[in-house]
Amino acid sequence: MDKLLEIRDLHTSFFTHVGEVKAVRGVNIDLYQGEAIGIVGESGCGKSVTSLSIMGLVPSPGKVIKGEIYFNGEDLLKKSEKEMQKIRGNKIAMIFQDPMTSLNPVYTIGDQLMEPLRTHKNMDKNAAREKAIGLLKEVRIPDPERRLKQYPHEFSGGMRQRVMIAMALSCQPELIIADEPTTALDVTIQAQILELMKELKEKFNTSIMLITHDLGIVADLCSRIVVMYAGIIVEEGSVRDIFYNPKHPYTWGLLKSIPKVNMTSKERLVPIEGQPPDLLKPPEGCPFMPRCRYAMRICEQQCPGLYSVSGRHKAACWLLDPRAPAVEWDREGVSFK
Amino acid sequence: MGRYIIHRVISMVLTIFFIVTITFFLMHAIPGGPFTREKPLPEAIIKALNEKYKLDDPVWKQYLDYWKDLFRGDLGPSFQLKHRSVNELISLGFPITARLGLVSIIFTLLLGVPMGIISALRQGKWEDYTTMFLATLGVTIPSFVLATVLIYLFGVVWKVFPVMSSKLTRPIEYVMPVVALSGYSLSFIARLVRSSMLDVIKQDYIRTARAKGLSELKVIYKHALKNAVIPVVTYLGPLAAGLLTGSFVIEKLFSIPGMGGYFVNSVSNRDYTMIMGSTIFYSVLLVIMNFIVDIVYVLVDPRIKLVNVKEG
Repeated sequence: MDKLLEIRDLHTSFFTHVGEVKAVRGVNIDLYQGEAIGIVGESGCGKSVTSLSIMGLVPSPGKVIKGEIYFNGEDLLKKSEKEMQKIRGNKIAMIFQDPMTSLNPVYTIGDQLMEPLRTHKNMDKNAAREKAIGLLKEVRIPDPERRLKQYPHEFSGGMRQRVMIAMALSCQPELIIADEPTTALDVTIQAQILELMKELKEKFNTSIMLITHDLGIVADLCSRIVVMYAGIIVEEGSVRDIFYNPKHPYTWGLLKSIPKVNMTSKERLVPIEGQPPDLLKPPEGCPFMPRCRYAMRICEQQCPGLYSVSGRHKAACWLLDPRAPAVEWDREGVSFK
Repeated sequence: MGRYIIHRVISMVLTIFFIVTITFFLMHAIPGGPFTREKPLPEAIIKALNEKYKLDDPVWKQYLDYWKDLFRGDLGPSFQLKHRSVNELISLGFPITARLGLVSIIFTLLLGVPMGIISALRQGKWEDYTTMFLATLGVTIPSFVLATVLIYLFGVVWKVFPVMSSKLTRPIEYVMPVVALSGYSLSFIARLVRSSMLDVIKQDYIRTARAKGLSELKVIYKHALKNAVIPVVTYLGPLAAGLLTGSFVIEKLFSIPGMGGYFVNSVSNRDYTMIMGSTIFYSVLLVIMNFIVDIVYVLVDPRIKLVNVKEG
């Protein structure tokens, strides 16, 4: 398998009037062709900023300040805006969180769906229209000929997200970045959209980077998981590694906060107490230390590097150091599919 | 849509009916008449004039008579300018005012919208500050001050543009009156477009458009602009009516023989028929403009549907 995407030591900051907010602080991610990777973490952990950095769409006053992002061996950060425009929507497409606001209200679905085709594939109007109808069929929107002429407000949330997926697929990109694609949808629609994404991934062999705060939805679609916290990667590994043998206390917390099917009404979800650190002045030591039950003195002084657990399973926690006391993760409180 | 238009037309007719009625009775309720002078005219002459123009009849009869004439499209004779009918005066004055107004509308939109866009896209940069400084000046300086300054500087001192624009036959005669007349609306539109553009470029669908790989120009020109001009459309109705009917002050300062002068003079002269005539003319224009704007609204924003309130 070839590496499709290779992020090396990515640093992205926002230069606000109160100072530099270090949103992403040295992230390394590899993504192979046809692979689906899940990036998990709570709001503000830098997962969305990482994805926007790949696209070259970090909103002002944000800026990538360091690192490399290789896509098919070429560094995207060295590309000009013109060259990036040829990649966006064409080689790398994106699906956003809120389908209610991600489509332009004053243009028809057809118009917006045909845009990438006409821009990147130089299709004429009729060819693009045919292709757009095909795409709507692909994402299972009934009556595509009629739907093409309608405006976004005539679609439900789930239907709009299907349109967004169709739009992302239109130029058959090598990579689709889905930023919380199901968060704004209700649960039954969530499942449908995930099912659809899984099916289309297999059909077109597209690589997917799924960004979410919900570990539950990753397991189904992705083969690997990266857990981010406060702008850094705290743990990464296969779905199996993360669910059955998690090593970072933050991952433990995330797993415990997923509701179980067989939970009784007396049982409570266990939240992770506290707040993530202020990235205006990130802590010297481990950023999770103030919220960690197992924190040691070293955790306050120095940020741990990634320890290799087994194969590609790595975690950034001092507990993995041979000198640390042994802490075992109990499996209670986690449900598996 | 068809039903909506029928309803609108009915309500437009009703509006005009009330305007005519209220204006007519208000006008007659004010003491004095068209032939009241500081130095009174001889009894006999006033009597003859009142008889000629049927001003001795009871007001309700005059009112009904007025409607009879109105249905024939006759706005009656002017009481002040002898041997001239109101229809004639309007057809004489309005084309000049309308020409000036039309040029002003085009000038306002062609300059105001781009000014707003540039200032929004360059927010916090010198382009933004310059534009907004000018726009603030434009909103705060009254048109007669602007006109006077223009006349003095460009007309008298530097002699670039003619001071007397009179009949507006040459393009150069338009420059100063148009600038003076549209100063306010232009600045208003620039500010309106700027704030709505600033709002629009933060929207998710703009990010979607960028993520599709569209050029920045296309993102702005196609995806942002159409959304950003929606508030402008709302302002377009009163703007068009205001500029088309012109400004008495501007017309006076540039000695343009337009509608504005007739209207103001008719009120101070108690020229009953002229007051009625220009009021009706203005109201019809305003009502039609608002109607057109509502239709344009639907064309710009597909989320708006023209339905009657009862239908929901």
